[in-house]
Order: sequence, then C-alpha cells, then structure tokens
Amino acid sequence: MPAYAAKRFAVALLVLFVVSVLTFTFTNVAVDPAIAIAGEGATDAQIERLRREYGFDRPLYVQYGEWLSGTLAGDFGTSIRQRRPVLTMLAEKFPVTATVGGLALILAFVVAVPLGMVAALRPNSWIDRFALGFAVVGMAMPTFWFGLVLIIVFGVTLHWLPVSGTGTAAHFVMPSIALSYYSIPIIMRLTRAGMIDVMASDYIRTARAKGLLPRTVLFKHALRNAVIPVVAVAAVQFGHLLAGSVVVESVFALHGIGYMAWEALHAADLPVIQAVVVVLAGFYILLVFLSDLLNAFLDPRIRIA
Amino acid sequence: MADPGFPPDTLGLVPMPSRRAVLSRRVFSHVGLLIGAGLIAVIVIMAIFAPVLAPYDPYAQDLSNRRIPPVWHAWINDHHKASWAHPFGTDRIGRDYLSRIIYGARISLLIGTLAMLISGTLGTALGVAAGYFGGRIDMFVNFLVTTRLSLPLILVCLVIVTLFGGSITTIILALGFLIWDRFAIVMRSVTLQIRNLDYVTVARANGCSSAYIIFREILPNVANALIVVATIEMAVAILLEAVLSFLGLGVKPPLPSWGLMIAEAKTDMFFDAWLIGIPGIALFVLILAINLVGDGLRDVTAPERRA
Amino acid sequence: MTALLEVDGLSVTFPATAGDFRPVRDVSFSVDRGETLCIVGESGCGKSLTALALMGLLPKWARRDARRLELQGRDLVGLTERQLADIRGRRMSMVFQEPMTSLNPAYTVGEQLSETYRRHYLSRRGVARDRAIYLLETVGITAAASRLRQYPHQLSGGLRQRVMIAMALICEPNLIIADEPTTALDVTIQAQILHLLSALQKRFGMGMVLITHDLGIVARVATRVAVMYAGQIVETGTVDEVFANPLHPYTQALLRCIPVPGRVKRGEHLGSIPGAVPTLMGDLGGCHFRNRCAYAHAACAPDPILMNEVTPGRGYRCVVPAAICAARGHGAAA
Repeated sequence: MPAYAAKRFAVALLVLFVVSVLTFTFTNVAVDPAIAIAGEGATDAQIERLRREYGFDRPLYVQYGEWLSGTLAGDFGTSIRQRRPVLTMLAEKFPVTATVGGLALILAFVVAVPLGMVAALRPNSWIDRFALGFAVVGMAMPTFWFGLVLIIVFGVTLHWLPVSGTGTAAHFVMPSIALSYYSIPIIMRLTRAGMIDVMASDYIRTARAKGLLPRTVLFKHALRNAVIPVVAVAAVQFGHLLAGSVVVESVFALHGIGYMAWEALHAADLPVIQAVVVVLAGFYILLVFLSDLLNAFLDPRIRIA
Repeated sequence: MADPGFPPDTLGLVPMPSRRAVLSRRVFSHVGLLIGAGLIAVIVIMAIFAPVLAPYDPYAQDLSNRRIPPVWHAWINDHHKASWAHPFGTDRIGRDYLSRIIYGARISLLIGTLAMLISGTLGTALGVAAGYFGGRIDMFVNFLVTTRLSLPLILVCLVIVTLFGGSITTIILALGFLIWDRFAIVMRSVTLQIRNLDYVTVARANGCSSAYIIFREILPNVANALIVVATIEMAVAILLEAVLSFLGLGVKPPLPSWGLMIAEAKTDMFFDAWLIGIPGIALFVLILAINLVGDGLRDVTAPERRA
Repeated sequence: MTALLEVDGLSVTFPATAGDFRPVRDVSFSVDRGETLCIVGESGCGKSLTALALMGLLPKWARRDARRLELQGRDLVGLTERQLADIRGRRMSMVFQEPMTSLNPAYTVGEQLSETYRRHYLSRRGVARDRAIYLLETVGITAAASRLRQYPHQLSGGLRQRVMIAMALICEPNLIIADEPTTALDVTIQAQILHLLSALQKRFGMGMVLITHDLGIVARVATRVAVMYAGQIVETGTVDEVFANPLHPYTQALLRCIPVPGRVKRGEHLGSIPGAVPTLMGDLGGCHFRNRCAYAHAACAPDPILMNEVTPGRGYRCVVPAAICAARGHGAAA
C-alpha cells in the first residue's frame, strides 16, 4: 500500500508539473504580457520599458522558474487589471465555487446513486425506463440553458428563488441544481452498470447458492463491490463540477473563481488565468489521487498486491 | 447421413439465424436508434439545403419587425403580430429566427463533425498504439490522458479561443485537440482485448508486420466501439461550442450559432422566453438525436453492455 | 424409500416476443444417497441450466416448470425465496465452473466460509472459524488457519476450487451439485479435484449431480449417467449400461468420437457428428436429433418422442425398438 501510494503521488506531481508548464507557455506565447499590462494606446517605448521592468525579455524558462518558485511559495503574482495579489482574489472567490460544486456533488449522488441501484435491481421496470430516459434527456440538455430555464420558471414566473447573487442560502439552490444536472446522468449510468455487472457476477450466484439471505447478498456482497467504481468517479466528478462552474457562475452571476476567470479572459489578465487553470488542475489531480487511495482501501486486490 | 428420400431441411428443425440477420433485425426494432437517425437526417438536410429552405436571409435586419413572437403566440394569446410570416418570430434586431436556426445547424454540425474527426484520429492513434505496443508507449499515452483530464476542459477551451481568436477554425482545432481522451481510453482497452485474441496471435506468429496487423486485424474490429465514442464526442463538441459562444468567447456575431443566439437573447429572456427557448430546444434535439444513435448502436452491436 | 432427489418433467423457459426460448424440456431423473449422477452433453444442451433450476438460481425472467421437484421428500416447487435460502447451502449446495470469479474479491476466504456456517447454524464466530479450518483441511489445504486471512486473488485456481468445495460442504449437505467443476483448471489439477470430490461424496454419503461434457470424467466417477441433447435427456442408465450398450443414436455417435487405445487404429479417422444443434426456440416437434441422425426417417418428425423405459432407471428417447438400437450401437460401445 505505501509503495502504491508513493507511486501514485509521484505521477500526480509529474502531471501537475506538465500542466503548469503547458499553461505558462501557452498563455505567454499567445499574449504579450507587456502589451496586456500597458493597455491600449501605449507607445512602443512604454511597452519596451514595461517588458524590461517585469523581466519579460528574459528566456521563457527563466520566467517559468521564477513563476514556479513564487507559486510554490503561495504567491501567484499580481492581477494586471485589479492590481491585487491573485492569491487573495482566489481565497475570496474559491468558497463560492466550492460551495456550489460541493452542493451539486451531494445532490447528484443523493439522486443518482439510489436511482441507479433501483434501476439495476429492477431492469426494464418503469423506474429503470424512467432513469434511462432521465439520463438521455439530461445528457442532451446544455447546462447553461437548463440554468436559464430554471431562472425563468422558479425565479421570474413563480418567484420562489432569487435569480442571481450569493446573499443567502436560497441563492445557491438553483446553481447547485443546474450544476448537478450535468453529473447525474453519468453517475446514474455508472451506478446502474456497475450494479448490473455485480449482480450478474459469479460470486453473487455463489452467495445465493450458499443460502445467504437476500439482504445479506445485496448489502454485504453486492454493494461493497458496486460502490468501488462510483467512489472513484465521485472525486473526478467533483473536479469536473468545479471546472464546469464557470458556466453556471456566469448564468447566475455568482462571483466564484469561474466568473473571475471569465472576467480575466476578457481583460487578458494572464496571472489570474494561469492561477485559476493551475489551481483547478491541481485540485482535480489531488482528488484523483485521494480517490485512488480510497479505491485501494476498498479493493483488496489493489491493497494487497 | 439422413435418409436420401428425406433431406435434412424438411425435418423442420430451424438452424441458428446468421449474425447479419440478427443485427439487421436489432437495428430495425430499436426505436431509439430509428428516432435518433431520423432526427439527424432531418437536421443534416436542413443544414445542407439551408439557402433553399430558409425563408429569409439570416443576417437581414428589419428594425420595424423586432421581437415578433413565434406563430403559436397568435393562437394561445392572440398576439396581433405573430403570424406564419415569421414562424419562429424575429430577434431583437428583426432577423428571422427560423432562418437563423436553419443556418445555425450548419455551424453546429460543421464544428461537431470536424472536431470529432480530429480528436478521433488523434485519440484512436494514441489508444491503439498504447493498447497494441504496451510498455513504455502505453505508459506515455496514459500520462498524456491523465494530463489532459486534469485540465479543466471548458476553461482551457475558453483560454485558447480567447488568446488565439474566436474563429470557427480556432474552435474546431481547440476542441479537436482537447476531447481526444475518451477515444484514447476506449480504443486502448478495446485494442488490448483484441490484441490477445487468437487470430491476432496467429497473424503475429505468421510474421505479419505491426502495421498490417493494426490496419487489417485490429482497426476493423474496433470499429463498433469507435463509432459509439464518435457520437459521444460529436455531442460533446457541439455542446462545448454552444457553451463557448454563450459565454461570448466562441463564434463571433452575427453568425447564427445556437449558443450565441441564446446569449444574445439573455437580456430579453424575462419578457420573451421563446427567444432562448427555441435555440435551446434546437440544441437539445440535435444532441438528443446524436446520443440516441450512439446508445442505439451500442445496444445493437454489444447488447450485453447496455447501461 | 423415496430417492434423495426426484425430478420429474423439469422445464426452463425464457419468454420472448419472437418465440419462447426453451433450453430445458421435460427433464426427469432421480438421485439416491451415496450415488453420483453424471449429466453429460455438449455445451448449450441445457445441462448447466438444469443445475441452476434445481437450486432455484435461474435468472429472474426465466420460468421453471416441473411436475415434481423434491429433495428428501420435500417439495421445492412452491417455496418462497426465503424458504429456498434455508435449504440452499444446508441441504443442497453447488460448486461452480469458474473458481476464479465465483468467490467475492472483497472478503477473505475465512469470512466467506464461516458466513455460510453462521447463516445456517447461528453459531458464534469462533465455532464457525474452527469449522472453516476443519473443512479447509478436509479438502486438502495445508496451513488452513493462515489461509483464512487470505483474499481470493491471492490463491491459485485449484486452491480456489478447493475453497469452493469446502464452502459447499461446510454444512454437510445431503446433495451436492457440481457444474463442470474442473473445466477451468489445469489437467493435473483436474484429476486431483475430481478425486477429492468423489472421495468426499463417499465419505459424507452425499448424493452428487456432476455436470460435465467430458466422457472420461463420467467413466471415472459416475454411478449413473444421463445424456442430454438439445434440452432433453436422450438416454439414462448405469455407467456400464450406457458405455457398453448405448441405445440412442446420439450417445452412439458421441462414443464414436472418443479415441480408445487399442481399438482405434493409427491414422484412422475419429467419428464426428455432421450438422448443427437446432435452435431451442418454440416447439421442435419430434426427435431433436433427427437432422443429424444417420437413421432419421419420416416417423421421427411429427410427434414428441417419449422416453422408452427398458428397465427401471434405464431408458432412451427414440422411436426405434431397443433391440435394433442395441444392434446399431454395437460398434460404438466403449
């Protein structure tokens, strides 16, 4: 187990390193940061002075090294547009994104896992057909459009919920629903497929042949194995939900990091963009690492290799 | 042998039906697949014959006829301006909505198809190489996939499209080079399975080259899985284009992208909900049709994997 | 005294819109205490589904019909799932074909063994553990106590099958059903497992139903044989009767396919059966073997062929009189 964990961790670090290199290189090649800082209407001389002042005239790998050492020390640089430390901005906005993402994940699991289980245990029943239909419809509905429809129905027509902002808990209801809707079909299908595979497996037949009670077969022998792939996907889905929050945040005008990135993109605010991409990727990599460990803990075939 | 006067076929025992017959029966009895294929056919025809089918120029503004509601408003709430002249109404600067929806199908299908082809080529090449050669190549491809998956997809698309300019070409390339991961993962696992089957071992034992084995023995047999993934990725690409355009960082106005149409209608949506309703439903129908075809093909070619 | 297991008119049907799939049709046999009945047939003939039907382990959408299905005089047909669960593992148990996948990967061998015992005897963990160790030793596993802590993936196929056998025997059932228990194993291990099963069956005085496609296994362990073809039993009898004097053309053809040292000459072609198994959809009418039978004629087609009982426990399913069948089968006898 420790060897397995160490190996996973090394891979995670390597992936994060490559992501940071890619992000840094791409953004710096695409946009001249000196021009971005100087803004429109700056003279060539001004831009040239800025370039020397900030050290943009040095080779890219030197700049990357500087950026990396800053990032590792928790310094993501300064926002070009807001003239504030990026880290402070991230710390301000991240709770909003994490709240919406976390609520959406919980909601998705509470809806999708039981639905998938029941659908698997009663194949071709009305509930199975409903679940599959729900999944097909859900996967075809764009998140942003679903969010707008929610606003029109529950915000404007029925006046049940506030349509934008983050003032109260009620403000988080519609964004969480809209965001979770993206994950529900995936988790539901995975749970259903996993449960069907497990229930059709030889060892479930063995458990029944031993005369075990139906509830023992289901809860002790089936659930434990069916839950493994679902746990793995939980972490991955949380990562996707955080990354997908840019859409929901713009629909509901939530000031999370997605919205911040979107604003930064319009202003070519490189330090902010780099930080958001790297932080989201890092968060995803961390989650995948943790889910690998949890998986190994649940599955003795990995734990005791 | 059977009695000569009594040939076996008259004994009345039916032999097992052929694979092909089973497959074609499954295709034509799969309702979802037929509906999906029908819808896609309609949308493709719409896109190809847009100049013939569209009643108006999709870019022609008519400021005296702005925000005319669709024709059904004439029936349900007696709206005096709604009529068959503009079946889907007009937008905030008086452009015919039906014509824009019809032309919008071109953008979605173009971006979806090309992005799927690029990512499909890339992902299949990586996946098959990883599955077939294994070892270091497999490790490398796995690493690439992990790296790609850790990049926040929508955000990175936005970054690329913003930094390199939001032309249709940029969007196609950005999507094509970002959504190859599922192709690689699925192709790798399918190739791994096939690689260890006896007929591939026989081909190797007979001294066939790797290229021959990959193109003649493996690729024809991963085609089913490939088509299913292709439908999923095409849907993903179309959705992503809509998201990018909706966020104002994708296709540029005045192109009639469905995502962009929803974004342009956002300010009016509290008064004229149909302005976002119609392009949203168009997107929904197209994605639904593609998914139905993908699910249907999977059911038909590998019914045991239905999920 | 009634037999341990009485099966009369057992059928399995998978309802379908295109026509019902009926892989087991009107199967009847009985098994006594201390007796091994081998059900032999090629793959797809319905022998495994017969075994699952006996245990009540068919898929949900399958339908099981039987005129009589009794274990120790107790009717199994109308039982609820709960009542059946009380019998499974305790009165009758089953060993499956695939030892690699038949054990739950998430639990230790010890847990899976002792839970069966605790389920049926409500005993304390310690007692169940001792019982598990005893059974592992009985099936020839050394260092049994330490094996209890191991997970299935840490054991070889042969060891896993021994664990499966120990699990089937832990409550000392009266009947054990073994479905191709050695097919997935190496040849050397096959002999060991077969020998073990046979020895344990004698030692515990159980009745055994052994399902196989291997006539060599039948010859070694069977008391009586039932030959299955396309969902039906086509011939039954003691192992000596069937091998020395096969009556049904299918059994005869099957026996011709086996090389016998000394009888089959070098370079001589072994027998094979022309044609293909019919699909088991709907009603086939007449003899199921008629499209591949060398002696088929018009009388074979129209009406269902019934089992001809030659002596009690000796029967065959063919329209031709036994004397003629016996004469035809003369060359096939092994």
